[in-house]
Amino acid sequence: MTITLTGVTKQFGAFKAVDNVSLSAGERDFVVLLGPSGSGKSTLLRMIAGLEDVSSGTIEIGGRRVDQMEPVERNIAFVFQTYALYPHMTVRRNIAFPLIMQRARGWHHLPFIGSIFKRRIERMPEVRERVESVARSIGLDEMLERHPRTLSGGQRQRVAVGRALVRNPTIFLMDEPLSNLDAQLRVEMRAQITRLFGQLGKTFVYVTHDQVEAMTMATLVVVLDHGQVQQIGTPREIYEHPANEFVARFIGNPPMNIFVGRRRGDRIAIDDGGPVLALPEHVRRQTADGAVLHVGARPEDVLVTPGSSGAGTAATVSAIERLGPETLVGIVFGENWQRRYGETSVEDFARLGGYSTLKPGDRIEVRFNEDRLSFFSPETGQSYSAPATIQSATAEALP
Amino acid sequence: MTGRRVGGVARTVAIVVMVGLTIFPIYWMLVTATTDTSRLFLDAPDLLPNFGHLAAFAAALDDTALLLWLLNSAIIAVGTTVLTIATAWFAAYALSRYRFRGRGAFGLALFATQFLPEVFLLVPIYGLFLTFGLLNRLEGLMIVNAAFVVPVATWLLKTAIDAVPREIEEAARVDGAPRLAIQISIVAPLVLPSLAAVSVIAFFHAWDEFVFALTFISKADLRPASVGIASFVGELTTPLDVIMAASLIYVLPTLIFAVFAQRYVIGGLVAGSVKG
Repeated sequence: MTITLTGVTKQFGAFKAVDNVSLSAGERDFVVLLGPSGSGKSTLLRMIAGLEDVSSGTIEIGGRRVDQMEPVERNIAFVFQTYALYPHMTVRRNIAFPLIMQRARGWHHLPFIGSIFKRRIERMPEVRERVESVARSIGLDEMLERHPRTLSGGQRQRVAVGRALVRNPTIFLMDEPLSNLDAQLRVEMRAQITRLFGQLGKTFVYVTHDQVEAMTMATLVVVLDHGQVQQIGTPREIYEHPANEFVARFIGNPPMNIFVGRRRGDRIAIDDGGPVLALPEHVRRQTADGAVLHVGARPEDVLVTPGSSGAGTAATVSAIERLGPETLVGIVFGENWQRRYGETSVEDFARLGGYSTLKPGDRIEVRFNEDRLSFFSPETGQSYSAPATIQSATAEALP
Repeated sequence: MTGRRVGGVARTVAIVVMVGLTIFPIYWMLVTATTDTSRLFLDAPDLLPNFGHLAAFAAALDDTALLLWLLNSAIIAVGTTVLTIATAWFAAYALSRYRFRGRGAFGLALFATQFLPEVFLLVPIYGLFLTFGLLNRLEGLMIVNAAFVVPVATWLLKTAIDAVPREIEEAARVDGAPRLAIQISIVAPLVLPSLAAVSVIAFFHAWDEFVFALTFISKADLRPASVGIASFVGELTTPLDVIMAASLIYVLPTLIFAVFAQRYVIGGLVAGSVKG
């Protein structure tokens, strides 16, 4: 099912938790809402689910307007960060619960007598088969009669997924489902959710603050900050063509290095005494000579060579983090180059392949991958993006 | 002896003393009930019950309306318990889950009601009951007893509901459970210990209640046991052994109820729902 949000806003008093968000996700999109804490991503997800009222704007699922509907009428499934299992019910009853609710009449909810009818529904062949096949598919068939408190974190997580699957919903909503798991289990569950997405062919909306999850799972990433959409795009677009400095600094670890530069003719001079770099044609068209720009370089586009032959900008290694397959190099540029970006001193990073033998204090030379740099307006923080990326970002944003 | 041993012994002694102080009145009731009236006022009283002498029990059961009074007490106590839970539950749920103007003030007002002595309200409630025709009716006592328990019950249940994670209720909403069903089949089972505690409080309050029953019930066959037993105290004679025998019978159901309810007054049910 497609999801279309138009001007969705959530206001708590004077505070706008979600501010005029519009986006549209296709039939088989894995949408990741990504942002720092307090960015409104969970609130947005809860509004799609119907757990939170919409202050203004509309939400459509499959072309049907749903923003005034109860959660159950929207036919969505929601996986909570804390799993939110029913602790007094067995795993079987937890997974069967949505099916029982579908079949229960009003008086089946009465205390005491109601439980007889609920047990009867649970034992209906169609319910039993559905629950058991879902449990098999997520490897829980051995644990159906156990209670949640006897399960491990990963198993509880799977029960929550099972409860979401059993009703065959049109859309899966997940609110940081992996953040309570340890690192190894998280990688495992990440793969399992991706596999699930492939098998089901349904729309997923997934909230996380973990950019690795966003980059690896999403077909469409929505970056949020202060309740506002910063950028919508594929993981690759978000990484390679960040729409503004926030996205540039938020995505990527370590974040994009940003320098202050001034346009000198067809080139750009970095800071005072920094290198002079090429300025792409589309940026030249959008700026005047002498204009101040912010220049962004991903750590892998900062090229480091040991020694001081004079081919690049002289610098010193300030820190080394060897991660195994790659090495992160902290860089302090020479005295001739006054770094000016930001209020506090910003450390620059380069990413080298393999296990580097550099050590702190080593003299190095730095060059940049000049055709892969990003350029931002210092006033608005917006990127001077290439025409192609403007189009793709807005095409997603404004259907 | 090590320090730990001394501490253990001291604690055991303290517990024995406390239990003794609690049990002694009941034990003395038993002794008095099974002692012949002629031997009750000796300088050296009998210290052990004499199970051969059960005449007082026979007298209490045969010559008085004790069983009827106990039935009245039971009806009032059960009615009070049901009424208390039905009322306090929704108040507690609203206080815990909904934000509304004056929520804090309402919570404080509930506390404030506890400072008013019952006797203080006797006359106004009498006037009210006269108007509504609730005098000489067991329903009237259920209402007035529940009125005094509901504030405490509301606070107890509110605290318990506060501890139930909201996500569990939201999950149930997404799964299609109606709002009332969420309260009944999701929240209530998770606060069962508190519901049991509230039942115990409401039941005992109504079972023990004396002043309202004495004032509002004038027909002998509508008396609860508390008032009924007190009526044994005569102007000229007071049959102590019969009073004690009747009192023992009066205490017995509460002991059984307490043992039954205690099973549920044990926490830890919420464990395992969310990551702990």
